[in-house]
Amino acid sequence: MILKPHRIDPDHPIHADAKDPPELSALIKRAAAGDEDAFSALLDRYEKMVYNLAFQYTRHREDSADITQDVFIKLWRTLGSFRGDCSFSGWVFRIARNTTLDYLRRQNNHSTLSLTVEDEDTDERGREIELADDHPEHDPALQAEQNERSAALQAAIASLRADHREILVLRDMRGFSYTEIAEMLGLEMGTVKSRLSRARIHVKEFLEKGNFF
Amino acid sequence: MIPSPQNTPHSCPDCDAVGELLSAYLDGELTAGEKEAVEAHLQTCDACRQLAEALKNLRTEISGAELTPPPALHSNIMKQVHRENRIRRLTAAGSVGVAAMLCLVIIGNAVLGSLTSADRAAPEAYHDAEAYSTYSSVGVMDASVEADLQRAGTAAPAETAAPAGKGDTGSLTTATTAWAEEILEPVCTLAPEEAFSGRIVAAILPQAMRGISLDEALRQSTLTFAPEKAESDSFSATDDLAVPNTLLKMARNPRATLAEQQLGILCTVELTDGDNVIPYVYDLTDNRRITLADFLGEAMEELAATFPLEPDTPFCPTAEGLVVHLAEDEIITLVWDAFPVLAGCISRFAMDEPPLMALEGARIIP
Repeated sequence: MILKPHRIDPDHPIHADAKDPPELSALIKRAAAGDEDAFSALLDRYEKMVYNLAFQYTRHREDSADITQDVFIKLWRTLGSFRGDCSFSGWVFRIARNTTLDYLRRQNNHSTLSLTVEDEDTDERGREIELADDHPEHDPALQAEQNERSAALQAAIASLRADHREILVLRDMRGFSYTEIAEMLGLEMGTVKSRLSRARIHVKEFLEKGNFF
Repeated sequence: MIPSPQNTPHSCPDCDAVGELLSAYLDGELTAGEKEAVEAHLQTCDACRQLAEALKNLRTEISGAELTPPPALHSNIMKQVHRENRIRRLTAAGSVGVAAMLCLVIIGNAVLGSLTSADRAAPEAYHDAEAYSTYSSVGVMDASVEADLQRAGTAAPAETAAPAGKGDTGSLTTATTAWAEEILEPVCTLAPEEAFSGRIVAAILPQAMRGISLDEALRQSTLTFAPEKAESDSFSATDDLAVPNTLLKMARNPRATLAEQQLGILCTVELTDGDNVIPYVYDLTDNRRITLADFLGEAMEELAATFPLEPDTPFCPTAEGLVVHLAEDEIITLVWDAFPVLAGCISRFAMDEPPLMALEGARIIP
């Protein structure tokens, strides 16, 4: 069963009462007014998040860099429309995810594994998560610079459902709090907790089955 | 629900429940009650303690698996941002069109004044209804222009008649018309047999877009203007002098307003050899006449010198502006606000067949 990847409307606020710290809001405002230094500071903050999110979908560094660049150019062009009624992190995340999915759809029409998954949190059936048919072992550059263990870990993360993978990246790689993640993804706190727990246990079991421990 | 110590994580519902909470427990994201329950369970359940320890190590390991973007990515993004920012500023600056349009009213009158003078040589060529409507299309028509046309013996067509000049520009245009009459005598008088078989369709570009001051333009634009060899046999080299000389005299008028001093000197004409109509630009800043296509190509090269455009950046002039294809899905239109004259001209020529570009390697987007 092949379904479209889910998209989130960047213009649709997740939490109307979300607020960014004043210092971040000031940066956003300056960047929206054309201040390149301010935008560079925003880039510093979110570049790794976008890059790693993209990588967890594409499994390719170059593709991830291209996507990251696309995301930030979109951000630059649309900063003026950011009203601050949702968190900036969530806004960035949604643009990053949608850009990545668009990228995958364009690039991988012929090489995408369309994974039909059941969303146990929302009881939504048959939602498709796109996963590029590209595992770390297919990327020589990546393979060369990663040892066996880290490659196995990346493979384990890649084997996660996309919605679990995103949470793992946001929490364990980028250190966002559960509250922030819930806001960014438009989820209940309980959902964040359970997905993260399942994601970690899945990774652990994946590594164990592969005799990596 | 507190699991019993005898249970294992895989067999006891209590351990399963704690297992769900272990991640959040390790992250310090549990409520006080949940935390208390988990800690109580961990004190009595070896399996869950082992699971907690494994998850803790895994969490550390995953955090270390974060990839660092390529070092050049940040600078690449900022380069593109910088480029777009400059274009944005340029486009915004180009929208300072009000002053430019006012200038066009002034210069439009003066140019039409030159037509009135040149009328002695080629009245039909200059004062037809089409020329009139062209002026209307670029917004320079006002009552005094109409008067010029009537004085030249060509009544403005009713369907294209523009409203009378407004009060705020009326005195200015009236003065300009009177002043234009004083200087209408071309530096080089055209003989009737050397009739300029083209017609002026537009006049002036803002000086700012030419990157040269009026003084510099005048210094460069001497009356020793050397015309290029005519590309059509139907007009003479002398003709090439008529329009620029008139414009020069106008620009040198001591009563030139500040607005006029902000202008560059460039007019667009159509020259015809009977069958073919070619849009030309008189560019007095460089003392030359150039086809509109070549002029646009040069404008693109100037853009390329300002912005880091690739040599083969495709672009295409349209009535709305210069459409620049920076990337596959990245198209920027430099609006013609700062090029009202060219906009009028291009809307006449580009609809059927866009002018060819002169930029090396440029590709025309159909």
